Amino acid sequence: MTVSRDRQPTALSPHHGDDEARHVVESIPGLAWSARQDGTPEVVNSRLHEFTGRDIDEQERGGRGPTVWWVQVLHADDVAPWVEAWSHAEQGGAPWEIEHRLRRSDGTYRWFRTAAHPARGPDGQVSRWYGMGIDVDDLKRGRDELRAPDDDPCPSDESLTQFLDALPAIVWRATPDGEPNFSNQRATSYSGGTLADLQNRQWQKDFVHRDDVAMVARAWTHALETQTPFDVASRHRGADGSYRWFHTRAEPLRDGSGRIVHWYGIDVDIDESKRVEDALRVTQAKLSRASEIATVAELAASIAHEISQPLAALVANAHASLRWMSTEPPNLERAQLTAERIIRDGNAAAEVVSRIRALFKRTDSTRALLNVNEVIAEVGRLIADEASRRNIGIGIDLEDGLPPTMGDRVQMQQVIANLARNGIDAMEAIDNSWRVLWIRSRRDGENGLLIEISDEGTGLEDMERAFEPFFTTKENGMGMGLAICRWIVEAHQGRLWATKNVPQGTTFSFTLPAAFRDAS
Amino acid sequence: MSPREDIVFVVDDDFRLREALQELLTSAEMNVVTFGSAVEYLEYAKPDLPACLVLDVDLPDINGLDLQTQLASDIHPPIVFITGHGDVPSSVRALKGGAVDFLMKPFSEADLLGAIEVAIARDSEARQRRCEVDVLRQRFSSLTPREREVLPLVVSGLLNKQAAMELGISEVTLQIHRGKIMHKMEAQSLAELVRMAGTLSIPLAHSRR
Repeated sequence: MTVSRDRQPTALSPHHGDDEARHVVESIPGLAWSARQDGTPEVVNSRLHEFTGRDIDEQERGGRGPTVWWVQVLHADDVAPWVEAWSHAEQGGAPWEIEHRLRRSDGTYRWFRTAAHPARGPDGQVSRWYGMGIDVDDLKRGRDELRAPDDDPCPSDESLTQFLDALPAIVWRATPDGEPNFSNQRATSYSGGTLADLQNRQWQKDFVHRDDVAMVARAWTHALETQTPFDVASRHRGADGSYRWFHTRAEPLRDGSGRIVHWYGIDVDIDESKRVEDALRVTQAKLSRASEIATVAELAASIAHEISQPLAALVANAHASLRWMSTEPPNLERAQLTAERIIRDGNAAAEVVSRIRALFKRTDSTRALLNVNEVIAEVGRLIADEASRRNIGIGIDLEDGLPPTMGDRVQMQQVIANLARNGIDAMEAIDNSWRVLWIRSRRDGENGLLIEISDEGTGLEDMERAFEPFFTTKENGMGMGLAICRWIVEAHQGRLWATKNVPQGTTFSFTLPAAFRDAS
Repeated sequence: MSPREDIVFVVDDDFRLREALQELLTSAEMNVVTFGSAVEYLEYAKPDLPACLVLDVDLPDINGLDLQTQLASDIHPPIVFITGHGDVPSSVRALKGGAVDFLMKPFSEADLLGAIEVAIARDSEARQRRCEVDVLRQRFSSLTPREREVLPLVVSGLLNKQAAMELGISEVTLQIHRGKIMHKMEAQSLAELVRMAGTLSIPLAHSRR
């Protein structure tokens, strides 16, 4: 054990012998020192000497002064605070404490917490400073990792990184404006791209499936704007170019004032369950096609029943008529009676046929000048209550000053109400969350009107087949509604068609000609 | 009224078909009564004649098949179903329930008349059988309690000696009972008595030995 000492030995304590005091100084688990009033070290214990590998004598070569020796062993970033602490101490003589790094003899730095107290002479003036540094390196690093500074793209602690990389999910962090600034190893190993490749929204363009990117971008923008959790399922491209389904959730972390510090997100691979789900959906679609066929069969059966009734009577009467004629003598009176009934029954069968035909074609149409906006408003009032009971709002968006059209008011109501009910049914089929059915009117070119009924419902698989008679996706539907709607619109010289909405739902649009060229 | 000793009941809610069937069956020299509903038919005091029930499946008050089920526990005429909806399960159910036929509207004259004839023949037979049973029941009811004990033993094929021992009476006494039974049941032979016991569903008594 060596004690580096000043050329002027220092009395450590008035009460103990020199050796005893020295023993204490050498044994305490810290770097102990004493310094002159101006901070120039006088005595350092051997721990400090061994740690820095520097003898106190070296200060002579560097020149005298409160910080010269320290500057050689302090971390460059800690010199300024150290000097400041000393200058405060010199002025006021108050005890001070500081955390700083010291360079070890092997060139590495460790954190210390150093406290210094003054000793005063009989005149009350500071005569000397006594200080001790305690190694707080492990403590401090642990604390810093917990703090995870914003500008640090990656948690520094190896075990934490390992932990994040070992998670069976992609874990990421993004800035408040939505730029990813950290991701675990799985993100890069799955996508084959680096964090930089994902930035500037490149992750959307390069790694999200083409069919999902619009939905994902919209949902992310929505989450950022409303500061609400993000929750979507989408396909992500892997390094091998194939896509897998991921369920992504992200939530914002806020500071004390409620400001978002970061978004933290996780992408879980749900490809397997998604495939099972899709297989199930295909099966369900097949089942629903089967039920369509059943509905058509039921309708055919009910038509058959309607016609079979008068036909059965007709056939029985014809046989009876023949029998009355072939009796000996012929009973012509009853033969005639039954023959008349044959005609009656034949007419009854014809009546059934024309009733069925009437399903397809209305003949009692009365045309008048119609304000489409009025008709829409009427229908909106008619269906608002029913819709609201089913947790659906009716949004009406009408363009002012539309020219009138020539049409049958009741038929127009039927078309709009039928399309609106379809939309309501389609939305109700999804879940119970609040949704809005939009009915809009617009000018269509110079001489036309465009009416749109737009839902966020289950959507149609085949936009054209939907208009075929007997086509239905509903359990209780006849499958005639859309066919009749199209017939009515076409009878008004308009067109009716359906388009898919993004991300979901259907818009039914129909045009009607303006009754006359708008004067304005 | 046709000279035929049978009757056809028609139940259908469509008056035109009722009229037509009335006319057709009348022209085929059958007796016909038509009804617009099951209730009308059930409330009708039916003549005691071999009969056939022509029953529409789709009735306003009750499904024809359900009516068939309700009738099953009673004596009722054989049923010929007529229907505008011909589905396989209904026809299977109808025929399993004892219906003679299940005809789809419009049906041919031959099919209907053929089915009605089969039904009436079946009903005649059943009535005949019921008639015989009634006669035998009447004869059986004239037996004394002791004779009713002797009858099952005799028709079981026991010797007089065995039957007498079974009842704890003398063989002579048993022979007297047996003679009275043969007389009261109007049986010409033991074989005929055995057949009668079968018709009356008298269980065979087996010797305990």
